[in-house]
Amino acid sequence: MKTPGPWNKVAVVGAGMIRFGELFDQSYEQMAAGAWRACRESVDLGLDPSQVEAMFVATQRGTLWGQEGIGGNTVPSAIGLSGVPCTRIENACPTGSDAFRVGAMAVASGVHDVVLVIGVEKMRDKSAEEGLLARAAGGHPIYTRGESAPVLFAPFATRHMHEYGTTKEMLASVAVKNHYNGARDPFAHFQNEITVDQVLAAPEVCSPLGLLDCCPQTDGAAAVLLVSAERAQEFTDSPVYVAGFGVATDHPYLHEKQDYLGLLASRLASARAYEMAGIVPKQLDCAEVHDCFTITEILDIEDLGFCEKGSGGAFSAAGETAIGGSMPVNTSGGLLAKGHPIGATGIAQIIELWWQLREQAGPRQVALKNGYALQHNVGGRGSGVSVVNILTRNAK
Amino acid sequence: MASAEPQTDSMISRNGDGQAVLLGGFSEQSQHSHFPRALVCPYTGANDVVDHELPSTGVLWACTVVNSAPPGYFGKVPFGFGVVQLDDGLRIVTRIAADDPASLQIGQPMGLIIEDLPAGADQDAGTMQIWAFAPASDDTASDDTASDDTASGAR
Repeated sequence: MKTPGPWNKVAVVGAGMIRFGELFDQSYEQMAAGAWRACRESVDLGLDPSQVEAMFVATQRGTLWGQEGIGGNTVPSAIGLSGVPCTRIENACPTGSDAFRVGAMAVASGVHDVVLVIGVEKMRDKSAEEGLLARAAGGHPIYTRGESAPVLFAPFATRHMHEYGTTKEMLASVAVKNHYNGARDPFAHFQNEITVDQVLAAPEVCSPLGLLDCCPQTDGAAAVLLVSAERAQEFTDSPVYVAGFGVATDHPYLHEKQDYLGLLASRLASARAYEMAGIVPKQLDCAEVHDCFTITEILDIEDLGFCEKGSGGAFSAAGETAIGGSMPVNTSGGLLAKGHPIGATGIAQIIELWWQLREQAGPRQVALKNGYALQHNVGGRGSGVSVVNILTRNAK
Repeated sequence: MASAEPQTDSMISRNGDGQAVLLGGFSEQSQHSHFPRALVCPYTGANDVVDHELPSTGVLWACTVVNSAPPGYFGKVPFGFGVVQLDDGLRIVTRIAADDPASLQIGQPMGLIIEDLPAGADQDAGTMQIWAFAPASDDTASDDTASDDTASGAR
């Protein structure tokens, strides 16, 4: 993909999700079906289910509800799409965003014209001790000695504070902003505002991160419909195009040169996405980034080029990433407030950008200047893989 | 599963002087060392990784005080966790043993220790012998000049 962008071979013409939360009353397939119905209903000019040529299902960790072996290919027949080709995608925390990218490539290849991508994750059926926390270590020789996701990211915070003077109040400003946005997002897990004082007073998980610096464990599902750009007008008068994407891997725990001030995978993935889209960060109208912890959003906005390395804390505290700021970030509430049902997370971020670029985001709507928006995830023991997708409302 | 015998951590070895050392890997072809020891070189994929004794001293690069113990950890809470930059420049994630982990300072000298942790929640679960880094005593302290400023050159 060496031609400078925007790539614009694929259009997003449908997007829908269920409200994220602790969904003990819904099965994996019920959540997927809910997202599919919402996606189908969002297609302006209508969609006949028989038009769906292929599906990709994003589920990161089927063991959290007991179906590691067959999660994904159970979905089509459960939601009325039996017979449709379906492949499950897994790629750590960027699972949903990578399924989106793979779906876009399936359309761009010319093999399929209409592709459904569903992200679905059930995280609350098992307790944390049996579920995510227990699996996070996975027999790893170091991580089984007292490690967990917040423990992995907290040293980034202490190092960032040491090197750049970032403060706990600056970290807290990220949680406050994302909860403010989440309180205006009817699909968010948490829809309540919080204050800096509340963040600072919350129980400490691992210094300097308190409970409100951490995203919740959340159930959820989200779906988008991708079609070839030439056929977009059959489905809507306001398509959103895939302008570019980038993926990068990095050493996870073996990364001896890791400086704990940022994530190389995010820098590489975003550089590739910007090149493919033919834009620079300043041309973005908004972004959904991976805020599994408050410090992660600060690392992200630096690594993605929204502000200088080291200035992310001050940039956030100054309100630059708020909805009215110079670079609105996580208008949906982000992982911190909307939630992080891993396979659904990236798809739900795409959906928020789809609403933003179509000016359907209601009280969360940002001002559109250039018509570009960026979606980002990073994960895999913190630093192992990052995926960035860039969307645009501009026809090529 | 429960055992009264101490379990020896596979990443701990003894050097010629009988001192405990951490075992990493080293590839002749790539000239890179790494930790924990992998079967192939993570930098080149070369199949020539040999055992490599890591320096037992370094400086604290980053740390956290963990207040909520993950499953599988039965030691004292809170405990320290973080990153130590060893004297050869390698940065490794490690548990940090300190009486008061909140008092840890980035850049302070650290040394390898071996200690016994409970292997399970029950008293009869026995102990497991594992490694950690602790604030260095004077005789094990690494050279201060190997701290922050030098280290950031590795970025």
